[in-house]
Amino acid sequence: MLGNMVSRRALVLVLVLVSSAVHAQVDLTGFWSRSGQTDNVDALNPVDLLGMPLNEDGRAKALSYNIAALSVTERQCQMYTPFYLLVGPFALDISRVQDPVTQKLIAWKIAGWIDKDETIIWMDGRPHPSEHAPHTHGGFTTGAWDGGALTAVTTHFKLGDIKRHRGFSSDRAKITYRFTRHGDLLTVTGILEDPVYLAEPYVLTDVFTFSTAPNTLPSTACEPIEELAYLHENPAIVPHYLPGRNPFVNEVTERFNIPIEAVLGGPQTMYPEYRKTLENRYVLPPPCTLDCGGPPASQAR
Amino acid sequence: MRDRPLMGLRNPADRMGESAGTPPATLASVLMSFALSFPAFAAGQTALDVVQLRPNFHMIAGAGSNIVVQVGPHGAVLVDSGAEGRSEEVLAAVREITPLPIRYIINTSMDADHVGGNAAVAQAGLSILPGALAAGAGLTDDLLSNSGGASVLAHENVLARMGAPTGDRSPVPLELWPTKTFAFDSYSMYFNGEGIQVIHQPAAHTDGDVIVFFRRGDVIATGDIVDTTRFPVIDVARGGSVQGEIDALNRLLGMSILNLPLQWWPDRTLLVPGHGRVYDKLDLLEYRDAITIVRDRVQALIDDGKTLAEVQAANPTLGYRSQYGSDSGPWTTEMFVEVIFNELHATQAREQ
Repeated sequence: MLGNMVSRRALVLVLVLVSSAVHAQVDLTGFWSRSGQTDNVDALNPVDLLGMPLNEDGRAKALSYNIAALSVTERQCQMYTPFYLLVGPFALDISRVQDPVTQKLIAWKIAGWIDKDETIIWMDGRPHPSEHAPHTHGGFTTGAWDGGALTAVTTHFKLGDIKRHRGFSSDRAKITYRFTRHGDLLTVTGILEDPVYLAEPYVLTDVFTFSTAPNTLPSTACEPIEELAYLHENPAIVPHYLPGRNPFVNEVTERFNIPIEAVLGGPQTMYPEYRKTLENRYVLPPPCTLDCGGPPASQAR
Repeated sequence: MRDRPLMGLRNPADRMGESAGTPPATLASVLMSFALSFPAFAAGQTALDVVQLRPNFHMIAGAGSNIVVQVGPHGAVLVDSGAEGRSEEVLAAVREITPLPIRYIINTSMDADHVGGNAAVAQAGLSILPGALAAGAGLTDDLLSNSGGASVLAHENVLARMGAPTGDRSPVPLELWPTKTFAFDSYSMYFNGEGIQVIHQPAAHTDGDVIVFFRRGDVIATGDIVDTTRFPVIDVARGGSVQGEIDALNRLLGMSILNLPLQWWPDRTLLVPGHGRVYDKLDLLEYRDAITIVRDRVQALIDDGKTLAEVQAANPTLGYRSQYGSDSGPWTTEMFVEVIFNELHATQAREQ
């Protein structure tokens, strides 16, 4: 009898300890709204690579890019890479994926957007696929708790934009995330490493707010259309700019006086101290009078 | 000039006579000399990696070229047999996939890392051809049924490159030769409940390349027309060409289907390259674009009157060098650019 009671108490103690350990794993479930993003609003220039740690190949590929390539049938519905989670405009919709029998958490799911695949963060210890396995838009992600933070690693995603039509990561890239919850705030840090197009890891952090009215747009079906006739008349044509012939390369410099070497990016432009190298040379441009992004001058108050 | 083999049959004279006047070379010594001209044969002795693509499709990587294994009630069909010396591992991997016999090997080119396992893998298989038919046709059973082993199918140009004029030593041992060839655009069969199209692609990586299209499984074996680890090897000495390579990539694009309208679903055509990871149509598009863009850049430099040295100095592969380029080894970036330059230059000279 006494032995039985001791066993039960031991079991309860074990359950409490295990339960405490489980509770140390933070609940990330819910909608998390973004406080602001700039990719769709303030970054409209086709050649604006400032702050991106591109290597020589990464810069050359970015300058070769012709937006007409987006009219190729296969690219019209192409999704962004998983890194767009930190760049794009929408809220994060995070939910639990549980084993249907044991109810044990086996993954966290970040729902897809209209142009970004879902991210499933597997927590059950499964390995990443073979290096020879096919890639998907969303890639393959595994996670683990590091104290109160969820860390996750994504591989096996496709070549795609780092930012909207500006700079690319390759199919050999890897993303390491860190999700840290502070009450109603969720800090997400992403480290993008790419041996093909980046000279150094590209690190972005964003803070999301717990929300009951999230701004999001779920994945929907997509049907391409015939946009540019010449690409259908001759599908062998590849839209691109030859080296030195990108017509937009000087646009940011001409409009904002930002030196071309800064516009073309590179690891040095990523660090705050880079501004000091420009401060003696930088001259504010004259006030904008045409196509300034606001209402027409006649309507401005 | 050797006689053209009968359609679908290897010419007995080719098989029996061409190397008769020369002392027999050992398989290993001939393969070693053969390998020198085939860059991918130098692949390291890495462990095999078996990737399941569909319930009845697997890819075996690491034995030289990639090997596709299609399995059904009638046995296994292999696309390529890997490098000589890896056959035991390949056969062990196939036995893990299916206990059924190997019925066909389809060679996508004559490269040693694609055909090196033909002898051992075929002899471990079982011919689909009944001996009585062979006898009725006045032929020996061994000839038609590959001595009871699996049939080895390839384009006729593969056989032509493996053989040699009468009296000369053939560069490839007899045991590795295909047992069944076709001379024209394509060869089709319905096997394991699936239509299989073997499509000749002239003058791409070589002049003997075939694309193997499994229509029900929607899996395409591209051979070395696609090599995701490097710029495609254009083997000019064996009939390859840059324009043929680009044509082949565009043909593959036309055969492939993306996962639309539900782009987050996994359903799509899968392409198994000669080397490297499995692609889908979007990956293939990036590869095709890279090759085409480099070609366009070289053409623009030629139009500006640049010499080969000036073209090389202009670095026309920039943007793709880290992904596909190499400064050393059997197929360097400079070699790739040189082949493009020479072909475009010759074309321009012909047109002027």
